[in-house]
This record gives sequence, C-alpha cells and structure tokens, in this order.
Amino acid sequence: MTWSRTPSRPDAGIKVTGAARYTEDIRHEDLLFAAAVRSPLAAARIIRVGVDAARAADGVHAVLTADDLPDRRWGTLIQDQPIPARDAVRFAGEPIALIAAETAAAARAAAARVELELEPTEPVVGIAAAFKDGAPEVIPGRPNVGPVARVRRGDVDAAFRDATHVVRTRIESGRVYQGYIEPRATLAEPEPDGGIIVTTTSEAPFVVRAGLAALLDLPMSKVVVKVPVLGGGFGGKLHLGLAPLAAVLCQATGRPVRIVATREEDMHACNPRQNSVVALESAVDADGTILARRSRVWLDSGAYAFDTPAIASLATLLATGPYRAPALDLQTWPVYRRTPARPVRHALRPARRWCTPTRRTSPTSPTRSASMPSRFAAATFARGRSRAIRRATQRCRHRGLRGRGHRPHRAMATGERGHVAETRVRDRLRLVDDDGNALGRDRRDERGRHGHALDRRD
Amino acid sequence: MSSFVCNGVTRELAEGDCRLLIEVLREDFGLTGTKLGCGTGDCGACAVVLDGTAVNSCLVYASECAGREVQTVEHVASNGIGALVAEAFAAAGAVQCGICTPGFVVAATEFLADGHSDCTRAEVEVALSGNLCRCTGYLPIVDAVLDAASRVRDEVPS
Repeated sequence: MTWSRTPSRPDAGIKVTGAARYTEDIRHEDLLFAAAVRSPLAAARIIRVGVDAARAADGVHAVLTADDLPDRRWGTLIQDQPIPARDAVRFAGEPIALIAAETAAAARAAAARVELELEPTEPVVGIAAAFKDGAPEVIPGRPNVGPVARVRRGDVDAAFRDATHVVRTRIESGRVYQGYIEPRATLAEPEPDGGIIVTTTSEAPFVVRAGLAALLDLPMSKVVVKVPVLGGGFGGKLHLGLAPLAAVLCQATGRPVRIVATREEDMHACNPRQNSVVALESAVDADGTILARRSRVWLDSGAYAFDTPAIASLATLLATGPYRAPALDLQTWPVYRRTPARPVRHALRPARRWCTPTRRTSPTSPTRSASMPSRFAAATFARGRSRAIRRATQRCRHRGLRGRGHRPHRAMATGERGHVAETRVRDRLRLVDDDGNALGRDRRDERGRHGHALDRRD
Repeated sequence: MSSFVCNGVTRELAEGDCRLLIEVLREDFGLTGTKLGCGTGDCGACAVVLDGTAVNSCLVYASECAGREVQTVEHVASNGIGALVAEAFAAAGAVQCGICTPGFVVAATEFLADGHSDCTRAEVEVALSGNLCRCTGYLPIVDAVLDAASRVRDEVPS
C-alpha cells in the first residue's frame, strides 16, 4: 500500500492493514499447541494428578506435572514459584499440569481429561488475614509478612507532639488488571544444540532470557528471546509469563510449542497491580503545612514474591513526595496470600497519590486533606469484579453499546460471561477516617468517554 | 460441504466444522490480521464485515457464514473507504500497540460505508463503542474517523 500521508510511527502502516505479526500470529510448521490445567482452588494439597487418560488422548505429545520436572523455581528477586505447582497449590489458577498436542482443540480436550485430586487447605484471604496469629504460612517456613522497607528522616515524634492537627487516613486500594488487549502468549522452538528460541509477549526480554537460562539450567548463550510486535503490556508483561510453561513443553517434545492464554486465564493467573492497605498520618500546623508524616503500607504480594519486595521499596521512596515534609517515617511490607500479584506500570503510584493532599488543608476540617486523583482508571480484578462487570454492563446498555448489531448472540445465550477489561476503580475505593466515617468524595474520572483506560502512553 | 466468500475468494468449509469464524480465518486462511482479544465479544479486536455488517468473529460460527460474504481487515483496509480509514488512523496517531487497530478500522469503515460520512463526533463514539483500546485514550481514533469521513465526503459527493 502506498501512503499519501506520513504515518505517525514507522509501524503504523503494517498495523492498520493487519499485516503486523504478533506472537500469536506467527505460523510455524510442526507447531504444537499447549494448554494448562489450572487449580480451581486457592489453597490445597495436591494428592494426585491423574494424567494417563490425557496422555492417551488423540494428538497429545506431552503431559507434564511437577513429577516430570526438576524442582527449580522462578521469580524476579526471590525464586519461589514452581512451573507447575508442586505438592501444593497457592492460588486459584496456578498451573498443575501442562499439555502439548497437535491442535489447540486436542490440547483443551486432553486438559479436560486430567484428574485432579486436591485436598483443600485453609486459604489466606485478604491482607488482614495474612497476619492474624495462627494464619497458615502460604509458603512453609516463610512468614506471610515480608521484610519491611523503611525510610526515616527528622524527628517525627516531636513533630506529631507539637502539631496543631493530625490527619489520619486509611485507604484500601483494589487489584488492577493491566488490561492489555493482546493476551500473553509464548512460542518456544528447540535448537539442534540443545538451546531454545523463545518468541514471547514481553516487555523485558533480557529478564526472560536470564530467568529461563537459570530455570532450564542452560547457559545464556543457548537461550534466544525474541519479542515481535507487542499488543500492550503496561507492566503486566515484565516477567517470564508463560515462557517457562512453553519452554518445558518444548524440551519435552522436541517440537515448537505455543501457549496462548485465554482472557479468562490471563485475568486469573497473571499479574495485576498489588492491592494495598495504606495507613497514613500527617502532622500539620495551623495553616495546613505538613510537618511530618508516618505511613504504613501493606502490599499484597500474592502467593509468590515476584518483585513485590522491590515494589515495597519503591512505594516507600515515592511516599517521600511530592510535598516537602521535614520529618518522615514510612514503612511498606509485602504480604503473601493466596492470589497472584505483580506490578503494573507506575508501581503503586495510584495508592500513593490517594495519600497526597491535593487541596490545602483547612485547619478547621483537617480530615478533608485527602482526595482522589482525577487521573486514574483501570481494570478490576478478583474481589468486586462481578459488581464492576454489572455496573459496566449497565453503563454499556445505557450508552447503547453494540447498538448496531454487534452485540453477540453467544454472549447473550451464555449470560454476561465476558470480562470487562477496563472499568473505573472508583467503585472499590473507600476513603475513611479512623472511626470508619467516609472521607471526602471519590472524584469521577472525567476523561473516560467510554469508561475505558486512560493511560495515554504504552 | 458449504462455502462462503472471504475477501473475494470462495472458501470451502468442511461438513461438521464447529469452529468459530475467527479460528477458521486465522488457522486455515492465515488471515491473522483479525485479533482475538477476549473471546467474549467485549473488545472488538476480532471485528470483520459479514454481509455488510461489522460483527465479532469470536462469536460467529464459521458454519453460520455459509453462502455469505466475509471481509477481514486485510481486504477492508486496502480498498475504498477502508483504505482512507486506514491511512487516517496511521496519520492521526490512532495506532500505538496496534492490537485493537484492525477491529477499529473494520468497525469505522463499516460505519462510514453505511452512509454516515457526515457523522458527528458523538456518533463516531457510539459507532466505535464496541471496540476497546488500551493505549490511545480514544481521542486520536475518533479524530482519525472524522478525518476519514471528511475525505469520504470529498471523494464521493452526495
């Protein structure tokens, strides 16, 4: 195609015509398709995984469980996550068995024939539950509350003693799904020298390369990572993602293997931004100037560490601004519980921004110092999702979305089974004072014409 | 054996093939410009034109297309109004990661081809409300469609 006008970016031309090749679009002779059998339970002991029927199914080349693989763990900072769950499952959606088959349909059919015998154990649900006395350890031998990241400066106690007012704020922020339109996918191809070529949806190919080399016990020179056109990431594709799953299946079969997450899998077992609890105290003088701040933040790390310890440090550092405060005592803890969680772009910035005064504090009503940011909208995940979906659905109906014959008959037939990739987070935020009284008003995000995501840079 | 016309080419469909249209387009015909975003009809990345109407191909069985005509982005964006839309998208900064772009181009083209070249901004927003974009914030996309609409008016005086 010839263009009479200049495209705004070099790859715009191939993207508008559908010629751009994303990971899922790459065709390969010999390709096997993968499926993962995922845990329906958040916490359970794995008694038995019956794979005989799946292995005997038509077109199946490999069925792998933890028993078929060496016990190596992956993770960005702390290597604690097995490839398929070993002995225990720690979040709903954790892979237990991996299948490679001639077609995607055969892989799915085989996955349905895997028998799971799971013994439910007590789940750790909610940040508060993770540090109750006697709460079961998510990973045996590791406390559910991780090491604190702390920043201190000045004489905080003196500032609070002398302050005219003290403003106390407690905020709970919900999970945020990054909402990239391209679900995660990985293609792994074997090399004759024992190496592996991995084509994957990643924002950090060198992280994938180093991580896979360690996980597969290969020298880095034998791991090649390619990232073709990427359909959005927003921090959700910073980790190995599905690469370990595809890589072990590729090694087991000696064939190229591709795994593509469904949207449902992606939302269940990927990496939403951590939900958090923020407890903030600000000492202010009579004219509202901030004298000192104390903060305690608990970040939901999910079942595995990933980079939450680093995010905890970052969140603490970000809390030092943007307003000057002569004295600070800021602490953040990662908390482990039975869910997946990892960072999204702008680590914890929204939760921090909710703690930032955007109006001058009035000496007579100091509790009005916190307000919601106008610039934030995103997807929801897990807790509260059904309500968000319902509201978004109502909003869509109200706006007559798909009013021109687009509305799918299958969705109608199966009820509202779709996920809302993007909706406002305002439904799920509470801003309360110490007595539990609502503070301020959640400010509506005015920029979302459709109620969709608003971040303008990818 | 049934058949349908896809991008001007007659394609045979095996008896009892119970796959979705998007699977047949991508797997059998290699038309990977049609993207699978959600599989539940929410994101619109898989939009194709079926007998002159934009539909989500993740929600249409291939067998439903027997005797009908399907156009995917590969065809739409290279011909007539679709080419104007595609060019406007590329020029207006309406393309970032690009995974949603084929769906938008198809939906916008079908909208303009339906006689809406004198559309308002609000009408464009409603017409594209079945498509999700995570990168652009939608404004450049609507700008691009309005731009394409003005070109359609210039080229085809009513």
